[in-house]
Amino acid sequence: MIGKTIGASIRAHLSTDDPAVSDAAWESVPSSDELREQVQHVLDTDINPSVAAHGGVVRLIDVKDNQVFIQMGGGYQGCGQADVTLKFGVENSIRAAVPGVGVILDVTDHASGRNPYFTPSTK
Amino acid sequence: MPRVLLLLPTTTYRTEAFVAAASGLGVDVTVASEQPNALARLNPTALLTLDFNDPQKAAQRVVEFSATHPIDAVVPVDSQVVVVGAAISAALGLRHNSVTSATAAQDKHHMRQQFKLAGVPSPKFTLCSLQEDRAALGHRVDFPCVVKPLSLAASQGVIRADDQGQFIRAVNRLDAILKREHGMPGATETSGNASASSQVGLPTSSEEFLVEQFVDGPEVALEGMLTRGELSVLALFDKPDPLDGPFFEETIYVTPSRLPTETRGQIQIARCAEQAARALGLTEGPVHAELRLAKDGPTVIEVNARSIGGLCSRTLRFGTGMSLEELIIRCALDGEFEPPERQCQATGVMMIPTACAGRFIEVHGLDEARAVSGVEGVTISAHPGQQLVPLPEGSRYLGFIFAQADSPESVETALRESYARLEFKIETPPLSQTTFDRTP
Repeated sequence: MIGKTIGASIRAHLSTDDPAVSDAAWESVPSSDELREQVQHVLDTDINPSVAAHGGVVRLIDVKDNQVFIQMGGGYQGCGQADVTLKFGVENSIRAAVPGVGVILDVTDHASGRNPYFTPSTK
Repeated sequence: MPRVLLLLPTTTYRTEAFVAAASGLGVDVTVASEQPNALARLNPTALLTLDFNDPQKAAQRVVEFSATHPIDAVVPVDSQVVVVGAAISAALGLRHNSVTSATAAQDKHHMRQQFKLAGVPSPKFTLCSLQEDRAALGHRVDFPCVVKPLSLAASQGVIRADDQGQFIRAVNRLDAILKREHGMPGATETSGNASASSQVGLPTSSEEFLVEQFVDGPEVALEGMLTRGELSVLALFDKPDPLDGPFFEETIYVTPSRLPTETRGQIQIARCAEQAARALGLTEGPVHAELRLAKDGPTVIEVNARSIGGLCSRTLRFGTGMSLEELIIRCALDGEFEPPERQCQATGVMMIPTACAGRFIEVHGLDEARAVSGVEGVTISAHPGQQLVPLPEGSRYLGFIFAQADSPESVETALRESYARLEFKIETPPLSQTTFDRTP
C-alpha cells in the first residue's frame, strides 16, 4: 500500500520540471574539497590505524559532488570480509563523522588482490 | 526497526550477497564472525565476535547483546554456523531449527542414521574408524563404495573405491586430509595460503568416517525453504556432468530441471527431500538437498540446513528480482512471508574446477568468456599467488560462470563454451614434489 503511494508521488514529481533534489538541499552539502578533507581525516585517524592490524589500508580516491570513491588495499584487496568492513566499519564511520556524504563507492579491483586477509573456502 | 543477526564465518563465499540483501531491506544489521573485525571498536552494535565452535557460549554472548539491541532474526549464512545459529535462536526464543536437528544435518553419520530410521531412501552405510585395520575393513565393504568424512563440505575428502586396493588408498588419503584439517602434528599444510586461517564447525573427533554404497545415476540439487516443517521448493537444479568419481567435483548446475514434472519426476524428488528434512527434524529456514536418481527412484545423498553454496545463489531471482539472500532474511524475520516464485528464465552456474595443484598466476580469455551469448558473468574467486589444491584435498573453486538463456540446454551450452575460452596459468610444482594424485 505504502509502495503505491510512494511510487505515485515519485511519478508525479518526475512529470514536473522540478529537480529531483532541491537547490536548498544541495546548498547544505559541503563542497567536494571540504568533504575530501573531512573524509581523509576520518581515514587517517580512525580507519587506517585499525585496519593496519590486518595488513589493510583504505585510500580516498576522489570526491565528486558528494559521492566518495574509496579503494581498499593490502590485506583488504580481495578479502572475503571486505564488504563487512566497508559497510559496517568504513562507511558507518565516515557517515557518522561527515554529514552530507552521499554514496560511498568501493572502486577496488578485488580480483587482483594478491594477499587477502580472509579467503573464501567452503560452502 | 527490526534487527537481523548475520552469522558470517570469515571463510564464507556469501558475505557480499547477504550484506547487500540485509542492507537493502533497511533493517538494522549486526554481523558476527569468529574473528574480530579490525573496525569493531568503531561500530560495536554492528560487528560482533562469537566463538562459533562453542554454541552455548556464543548464545550467551548474543543474549547479553540483545538486552540492549533486541534481535528479531538470526541468519546462519552457511553450513559452518548452522548449529550455533540454532543455539542462539533457541536462547533468544526465536523460531528456528532445533539444535538437535541442526547437529544431525551437520554430521553425515547421524544424518544417515536418521534417514534409515525414518525410511528415507539413502545409501547403505557403515561407520568406520581410522584405527581399524584397513585391509580387514576392505574385506567387509561392498564395491563400488564411497569413502566420506563425517563433516567436511564441498566434496572434500570424498573418494570412490571400486576394489580393495583403491579402498585402502582412499582411506589413507582421507586420514591425511582429516589430520590436516584438524591441525594434527605431522600433517602437511595443503589447504591454501589464506593470511588468516580459521576452522569452524569441525567435529572434535577425526577418527571416524563413513563408507557408503555408491549410488549410480544422475544427481540433482534441490533448493528449498522450510516454514513450520512445510517445504517450499525454490529451485531444482540438474547437474549435467556425471558425478561418478573417483572424486565428486561439482561443476554445472542448471535450473529449471529437465526432468519430467509428473509423479515419478520432480514431485517425487521434492517429496523425498521433504521426508529427509522431516527425518532430521528440520522445520525452519533454507535447505539444500542433494539426491541421486537411482533406477528405483530418488535417493537422498544429503540434506543441509543451509542454502546453496559458493556464489551459486546468483543464478536465482524471485518475484520481481529478489535475491535468495533477501528471501532468506525475509523468511527469518516474518514467519508468514510466502516465498515468491523463481523467475522463469533458465539459468545456471559453473563452478570452475581446480584442475591441478600449484600457484595460481593469472587467467587469460576472460573477455572472450564473458562475451559468450547467454553468459551473465564470470567471477574468478581465486587470487593471484594463491596455492591451488584440487579435490579431494582442497575445497575451493577457481571461480564461477553464470548464464541465463531461453532453455536449460542453451544455458549449459553457454557455460561450457565460456569455460572453454578460459585459460588458467598455474605454476605447478616439480613432479617430485607433487603430493596431489588425481587417481583414486
